[in-house]
Amino acid sequence: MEKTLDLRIKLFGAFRKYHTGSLSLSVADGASITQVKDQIGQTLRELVPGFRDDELIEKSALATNRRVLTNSDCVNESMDLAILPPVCGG
Amino acid sequence: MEGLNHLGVSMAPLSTEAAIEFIADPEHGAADLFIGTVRNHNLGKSVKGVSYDVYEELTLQTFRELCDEARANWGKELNIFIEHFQGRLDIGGISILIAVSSPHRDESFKACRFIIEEIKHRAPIWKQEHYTDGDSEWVQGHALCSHGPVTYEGCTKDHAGH
Repeated sequence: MEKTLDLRIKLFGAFRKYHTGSLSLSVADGASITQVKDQIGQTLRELVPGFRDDELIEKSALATNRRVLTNSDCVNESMDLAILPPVCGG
Repeated sequence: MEGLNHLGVSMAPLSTEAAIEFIADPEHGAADLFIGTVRNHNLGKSVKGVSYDVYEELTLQTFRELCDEARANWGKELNIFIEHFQGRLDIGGISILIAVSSPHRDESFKACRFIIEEIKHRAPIWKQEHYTDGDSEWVQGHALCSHGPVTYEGCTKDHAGH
């Protein structure tokens, strides 16, 4: 049986207008960043019936507390991640 | 000797006096202070306030990396103070303070400019504008990626362009 990983996804910025707090989801061991983002979109559509903002997910990055992940990264353990929309601090 | 860092995310009002005091050094003859404030308009809309959302852990990590990069370019003795506000501010409220001191002025000018430009592109911070008509909107920003420093006129020393 394929091993699955549990992820907790923290939401920031524009995602807060759709859902406050974090998302819990499961992905296959070794899932790519694209696959995780697809799963985030699916989870948001389930939780927020009107959610259609695929562009926001596409433009967003995934990160740990320490670094922004790249498209060559993959997920090999259950962990906390954050999905980060385009930034505008300062 | 390596300079000092003060790096923070604060829900309390930011203090210019604290920034200036922190970077003061008898061996430094120059200090720069950047103060970011909330303005009353953006893209033709009248703004009455801004809420700042911050991913604190990664923001502080980004600040640490920027300090390392600034010292690699403009000298290890730089003293650096960076604080960003988290929460809601009215017009004129201070959203960010960056202060840098160095033995001579060129380094502190360039390092201060470098740090604010990089923060705008790399720190996980977002702002939601509140308009006088009662509406509010999350501001469009720069997509994050792990590509290292951005480049801009006047502060491209030793940085690869992209």
